[in-house]
Amino acid sequence: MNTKDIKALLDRYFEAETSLEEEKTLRQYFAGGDVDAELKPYASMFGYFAQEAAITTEKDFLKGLDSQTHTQASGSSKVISMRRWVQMAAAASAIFLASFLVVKYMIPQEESTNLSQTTAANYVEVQDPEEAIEYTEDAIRILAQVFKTSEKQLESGMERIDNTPVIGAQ
Amino acid sequence: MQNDKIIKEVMKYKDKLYRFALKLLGNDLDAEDVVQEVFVKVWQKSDQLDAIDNKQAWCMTVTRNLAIDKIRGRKAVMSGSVDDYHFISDKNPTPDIITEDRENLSIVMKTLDGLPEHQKEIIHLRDVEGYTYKEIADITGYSEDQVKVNLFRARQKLKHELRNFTY
Repeated sequence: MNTKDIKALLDRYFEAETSLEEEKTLRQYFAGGDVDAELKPYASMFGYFAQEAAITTEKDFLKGLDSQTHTQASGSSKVISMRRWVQMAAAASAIFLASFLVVKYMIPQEESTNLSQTTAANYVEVQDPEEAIEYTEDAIRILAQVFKTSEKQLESGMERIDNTPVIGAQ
Repeated sequence: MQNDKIIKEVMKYKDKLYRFALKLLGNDLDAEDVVQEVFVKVWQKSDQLDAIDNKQAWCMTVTRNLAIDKIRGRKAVMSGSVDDYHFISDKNPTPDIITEDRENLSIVMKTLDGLPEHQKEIIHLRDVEGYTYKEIADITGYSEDQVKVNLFRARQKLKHELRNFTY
């Protein structure tokens, strides 16, 4: 196919009038490495599409399917990758650390002892990841509340500092 | 076994599912999660799937729906870097040709990134995966006319941007 034919085909391509077969002809022309100078900008476009089409995955979906189907015989399922497990574990560790710091430094000792006893009495072992996320979200909400209160106290303190007259100021 | 037969068939186009999920999500781990979820659904619904003529289109639709669930509320997905692509338009490239190709590729990627999501999706299904208008309509839920109009607009945008770029 000569350059004139390719240009005509390209015009129809941009009008979304080409068939799949004609689009294949265009792809082959632009992949051939002998592109007319005037048409070079379009070569990058077809080259990009060709490289996108060559993307593959090496993941073994059958392996993942085995573990999913063995653990979930029926009903809806949700796939959670290892990365998300790590994220959840990191979130849980952060919550645990923050809770420990709150109990140790922000709550008076007597109250803290009572809280520990209450916590131990209410201890629940969570197996379901979805439920674990819910518990984590609740804990985050409580922590956010604590931080909000502290933030308000800080703001009020800052306001008082701002309003304090400075000796020697003009 | 029915399940095995259908899973074997779906394995043939796992890369298409992965590329589509990757295009919508812009992240390989999320894309793999989505494809894994498609396989689970195929496994669970293998009895019903037997009655579906175009199983590939069905799997692409499931991939799309799962990916859309995942991206809800996220920022727009951007293509990778120009450095991820190695394309040279000439058999005997000079440094100038290599530079021009990279600049053109950059324009193509920026233009595609700037398209509305549905146009990105349609141009991917047509120009990367080679689906017919009818198949794209089946996968996306748009009418064939909408598919054609949006493909036209996306390609016109690319043409305009590439033509306006002069060295």
